[in-house]
Amino acid sequence: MGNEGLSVMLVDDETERAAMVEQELQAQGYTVVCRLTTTAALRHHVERVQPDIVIIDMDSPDRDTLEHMSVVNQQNPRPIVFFADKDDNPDNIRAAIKAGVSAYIVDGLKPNRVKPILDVAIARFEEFQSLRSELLQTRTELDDRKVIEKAKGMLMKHQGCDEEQAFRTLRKLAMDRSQKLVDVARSVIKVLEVL
Amino acid sequence: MSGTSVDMDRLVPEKNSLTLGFVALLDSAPLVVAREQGFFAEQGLEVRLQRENSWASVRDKVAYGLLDGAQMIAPMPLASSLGLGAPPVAMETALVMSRNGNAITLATALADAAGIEPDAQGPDPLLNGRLLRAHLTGLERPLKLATVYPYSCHHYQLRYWLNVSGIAPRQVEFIGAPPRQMVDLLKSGQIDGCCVGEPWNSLAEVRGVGRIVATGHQVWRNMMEKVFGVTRQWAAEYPHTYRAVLLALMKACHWLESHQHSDLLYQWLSLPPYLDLEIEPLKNRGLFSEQLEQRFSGADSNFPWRSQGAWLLGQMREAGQWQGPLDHPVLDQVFNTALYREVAAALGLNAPVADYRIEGRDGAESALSGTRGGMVPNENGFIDGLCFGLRHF
Repeated sequence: MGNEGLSVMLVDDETERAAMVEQELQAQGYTVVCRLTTTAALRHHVERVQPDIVIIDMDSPDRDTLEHMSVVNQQNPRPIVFFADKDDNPDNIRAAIKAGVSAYIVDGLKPNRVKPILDVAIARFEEFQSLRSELLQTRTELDDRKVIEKAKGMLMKHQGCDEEQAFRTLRKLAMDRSQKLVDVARSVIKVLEVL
Repeated sequence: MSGTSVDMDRLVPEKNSLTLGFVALLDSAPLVVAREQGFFAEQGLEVRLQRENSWASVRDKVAYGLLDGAQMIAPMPLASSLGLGAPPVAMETALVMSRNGNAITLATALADAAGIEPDAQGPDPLLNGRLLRAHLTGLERPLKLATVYPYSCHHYQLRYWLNVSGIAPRQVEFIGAPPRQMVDLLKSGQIDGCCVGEPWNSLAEVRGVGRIVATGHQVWRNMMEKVFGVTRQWAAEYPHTYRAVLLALMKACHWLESHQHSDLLYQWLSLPPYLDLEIEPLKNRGLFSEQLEQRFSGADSNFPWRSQGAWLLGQMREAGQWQGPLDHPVLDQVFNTALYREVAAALGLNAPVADYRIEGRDGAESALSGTRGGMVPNENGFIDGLCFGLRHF
């Protein structure tokens, strides 16, 4: 397939997800040069390995580091947001961003060589997302309840209120901040533990 | 768009459920206040604030509609519109949310070795620059200095201060690093210094790993720092919503003028998902260091001067990021001064009549004509005394 000429670097904190992407890319004949899960070494790796394309989690704080490198040193991968050619459909790009994939490619690499790699990444990121939300739902329902119970108990003690009132307080906080009940419960626990 | 006429007293938001992006820095305060104090709600807006981990993701999510708008570093709408660093997407700002708040911090050990001492009166940036330069002649490796993002005031202010100090770019290795990593990088000796926004300089000082040697305000007095940015397409599609957001943010900025040091603000900012417990070490010292002159409101603080946009273009050129002219027509599109005036008028606030002025000129010479009579702008000036203006005024 002629894919072995291209080297891909993966930067992703989610080791399972990175493994899924790596496996698939290798099956298609690409060289995956390294699968970085942290960031301190990122700069050195990019400089040493000189990958043709870097696939990085959209929400990684290291994206700014990469952009910095590409501006300061033209040999490093140039930032492009996906295969953002004029002809490309912005809906595709939006889908990629939604999936949480961003990519940097070396200058001059043809979009048609990049697209299949990104398609793999997007597909695996999406798959991972749905796997995880299923898992989370079953696993956290129980854990969440425990956290919420704890926060409720602490609020009752701290504010001298009854259970009903404590629950209403949590719910109000959650609505005010557009946060999930369990997240609010966690921050309430953190705050009250300090007092 | 600024051309359409909109009755500011009867805004009917086309869209009232919004997601706005922010980065966990002290100067995200206007967004936090607008939400927590209810200014968004007053405008009939239901706003979710989404914390972003990088400026690159702020840019991309706004560009492709995953965020309605966001807190942006001032050069971002300009760089995006010009297609610098990413494919071009036309963006604009009608509101500067904050001025100042950056600082240049050196690792304590390096500052000590260079003879740069802590000064309760605030750092002396020219003296400290000379001391560092003298120290560099004995150093065999380049200085490793970090900033968060290549198209940022941090990056340009750092370069400017080095230049004024007589330190050449080739003596420095510029590194990109996320703000929340700066303190650890200083501590572990992986960087010699950084230019970053708050609270990270103050946290470095409190933890004893860094010393502030110059503030952004000393380098460029009252330059725009964070703006509220949207795509021009979004602005055209949701003119009422856009104005409602701007009204709420402007009220929040105004509220901050008297509540910047309040316990309430501290409590809000220390909530997750904002700055969270990260700011705890600053609780007793005060969140906002006086030296840094963080400013959210007053005089022309919120006005998106096109001449400051031109100044930023000039800095991009100095850094080798931009090769075009400084009086580029994109300035008129990116800095929506007309819309600012419209929103200011609805709140009964004075606003500059001109879009451009001579930057760096201070004192009596700097008095302005305002929409409601004369106004005295913020103190203005660059560390080297430079005045900057485009030919056409």
